[in-house]
Amino acid sequence: MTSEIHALSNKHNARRSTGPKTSAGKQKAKMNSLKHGLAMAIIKGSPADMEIKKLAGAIVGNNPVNLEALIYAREAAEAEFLIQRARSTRTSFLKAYDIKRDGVDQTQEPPKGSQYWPKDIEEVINDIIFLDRYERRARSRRKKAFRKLKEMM
Amino acid sequence: MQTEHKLKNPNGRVSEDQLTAKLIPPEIEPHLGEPPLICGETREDYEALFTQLVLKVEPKDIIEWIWVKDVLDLIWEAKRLRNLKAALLRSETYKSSERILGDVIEGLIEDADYYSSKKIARQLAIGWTEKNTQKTQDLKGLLAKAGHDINTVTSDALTKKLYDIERIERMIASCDKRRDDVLREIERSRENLAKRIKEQAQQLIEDIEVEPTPSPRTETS
Repeated sequence: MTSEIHALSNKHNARRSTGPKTSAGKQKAKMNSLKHGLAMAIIKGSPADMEIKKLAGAIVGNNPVNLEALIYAREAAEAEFLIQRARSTRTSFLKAYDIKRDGVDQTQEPPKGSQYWPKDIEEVINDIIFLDRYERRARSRRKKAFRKLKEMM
Repeated sequence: MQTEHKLKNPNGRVSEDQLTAKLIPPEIEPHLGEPPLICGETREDYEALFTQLVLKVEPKDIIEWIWVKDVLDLIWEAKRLRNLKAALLRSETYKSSERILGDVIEGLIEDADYYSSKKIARQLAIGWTEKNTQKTQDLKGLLAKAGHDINTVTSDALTKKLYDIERIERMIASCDKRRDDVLREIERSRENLAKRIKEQAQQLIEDIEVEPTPSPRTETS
């Protein structure tokens, strides 16, 4: 078992060695969640929150409910919202790739024999893989919540 | 749930009536999200696949509708990634053919400069991708003179893009796995429901009181 002194020392060291150090780096890191919006908290009363509330209501439907069911319905609705958001972000990355032709006029066709301009494919794949971890977490939450709700209904 | 659909045509193809019929209950439709389409993908193809899936699975409540839509989108994304992989390989194969041919021509033809070799190589590469028989034969002939063949070109293309191809294949595998996970959830939830119904029915049967049959002595007295 880690001693209290050791634990405090670990905490202190972790603060020193992780995360951005310069103010520019910290400013950049602050914007990370806004880059694609997937890590942003759902603000109460926002359009996203209203959408999630409606979905949670639809999930519960006409079934007799208790507080527990409402909580799971909200959890499932939020997770589903994030999954849909990840999906539409992924689609928009691919749309941007399709449109962007290495800075060339969009009306110009790629060279004969190719359908895409492959130079930017690495960026697209990187972006899609980056989204994957958000979707994975949301799927796990949705699965658990749906299982609980199905047991209750 | 209001569903309006007709049976499939005998040849198995989905009819236009089915495509335009409102399969999704109106209270559920707003929650399922828009079709994730990009350039080159049509709403008709997407909805045709959706219709087939709905007719097979027959979702019973909003949770099952969400699952079915999820399965549809995962199938769609996997298909799109496979197309992307094929297009990437095609594009790189074209580049490789131009590059290799350019070097071959420069080596074979006396006084051939870099630009004219590249020009000839490009024309032959385009001819090959357009399946022009004459240009394909010329291309193969030139490659053979240098001890190469089409496999040299395709393996060069694959080597150049192997890292990206592997990553795309991992994404395809991830889509397929998620699709299977969701299908298992549908199956599991229906099995559990069937089990609960069976248990409840069994309990009901046990709870029913059997009325005692009047004894013969009582009747005759």
